Amino acid sequence: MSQPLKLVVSGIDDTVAGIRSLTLSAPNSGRLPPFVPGSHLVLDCGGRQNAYSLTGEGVDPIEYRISVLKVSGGAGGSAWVHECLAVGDTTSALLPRSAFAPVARARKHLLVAGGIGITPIVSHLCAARTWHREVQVLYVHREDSPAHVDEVRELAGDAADIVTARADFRQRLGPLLAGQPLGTHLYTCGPPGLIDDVLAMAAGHGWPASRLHSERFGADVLDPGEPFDVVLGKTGTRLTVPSGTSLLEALERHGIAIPNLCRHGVCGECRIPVTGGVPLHRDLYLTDEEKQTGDALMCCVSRSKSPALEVPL
Amino acid sequence: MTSLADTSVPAWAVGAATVAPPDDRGTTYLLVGVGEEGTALAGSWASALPGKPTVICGDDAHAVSAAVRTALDTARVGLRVWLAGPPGACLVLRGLAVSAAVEEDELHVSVVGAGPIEVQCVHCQTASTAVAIGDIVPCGGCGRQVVVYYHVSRRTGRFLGYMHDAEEAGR
Repeated sequence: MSQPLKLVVSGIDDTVAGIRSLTLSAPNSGRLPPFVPGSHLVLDCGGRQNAYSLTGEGVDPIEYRISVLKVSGGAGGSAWVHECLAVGDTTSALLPRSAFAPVARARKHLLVAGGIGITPIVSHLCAARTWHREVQVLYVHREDSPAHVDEVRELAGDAADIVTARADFRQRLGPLLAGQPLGTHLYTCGPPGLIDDVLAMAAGHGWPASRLHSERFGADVLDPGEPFDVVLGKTGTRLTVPSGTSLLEALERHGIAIPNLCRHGVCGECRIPVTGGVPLHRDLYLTDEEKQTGDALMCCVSRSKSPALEVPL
Repeated sequence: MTSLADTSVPAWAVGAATVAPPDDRGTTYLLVGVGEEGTALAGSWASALPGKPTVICGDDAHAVSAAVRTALDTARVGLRVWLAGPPGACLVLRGLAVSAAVEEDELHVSVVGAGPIEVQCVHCQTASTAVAIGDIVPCGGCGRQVVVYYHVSRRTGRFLGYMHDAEEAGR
């Protein structure tokens, strides 16, 4: 695992209600590591780690931009960004990671976003302009929270359709999905319900899995989950992991230290082997094949499909 | 010894595959049949599908390629492409489909009947025909005796061929 990046807050924009956009720079004003469109940054938010999509241009960047929606009733990471962070403050983040990159062979990129889910789409649009990629955007946002609307209009021009009513969004989505030239890939980001709707509707219009790409925010996707037991192979001890507690937390409370960083199923640090039971994978790290094999899981977010999991710890 | 599974040669092209049934969750279908058996299979697919699938049939891949290309040019996402015919023809038609941005999970291949495979000479780029991997055939362009190597282009559907005794000839 590489060292976390030190970042200085060099700009704060609170223009859009409920959304704080940060500009982050290297302490010596130098270059930052590049990133592919759709990447996110796991940011240290006052001791909590939250993943936020990078919204800027990823080639040889001198600054990173992220937009943080204030989640009331969340774990406090976004509130910390909104209430505690000021220009000049220093924080840290893991290197940008991507699970939502544009597909190089795509002939056209159809970008569908809801609310703050526009953030990774903005970086897709920046790259599309640089590389002259054909794009089309459908973006629905709440009237009082027009995140990145001007930027999307500027980057996509006539290819952007921006609506504020969910009904309008649904009405436009059908014809949009039915009329795409062969070679189009779809990218969608937003609240889980919206992503599910878009993917289900696309499948209904005959879109195969290979053309569908979605980015679920770590924090949004995770419901508290069902309780399950974990059996520790070395001692035979049986622990119960209650709903709302992660396997990682349960193991830590039992005195077992597991290396970990992001605690959002993103970084891959807390992978542990599984010797019995069927894992319920909820991370962004393991490949589909690894998930199917089921002999390892990311204990920070993943749980169990079977009543008990056995781990060789 | 290299296993064919580790090469660019699809299992269906060497008769080794049990092919999964085609995915019928598309909204439109392009069914292509080559040869007598391929034409028959494409016909039976067409009668089992709802709506009006596009069916294109012919004696060999080149007889149908122009019509297939036109159909793919105007296609929308939701299309499924099902190919039926001898391995060589299916490889060439898969090349057309892949070049038109058809994804693996939109493509189904059922190998039926026998026919030649195409081999492209690395020395002069000319395509010739052969029967099987490992054959040594004269190149129609430069006359060299080329061996059909177990590498096939996804884009053109042609096998790679090179002068079989190149090392010997230089001594």
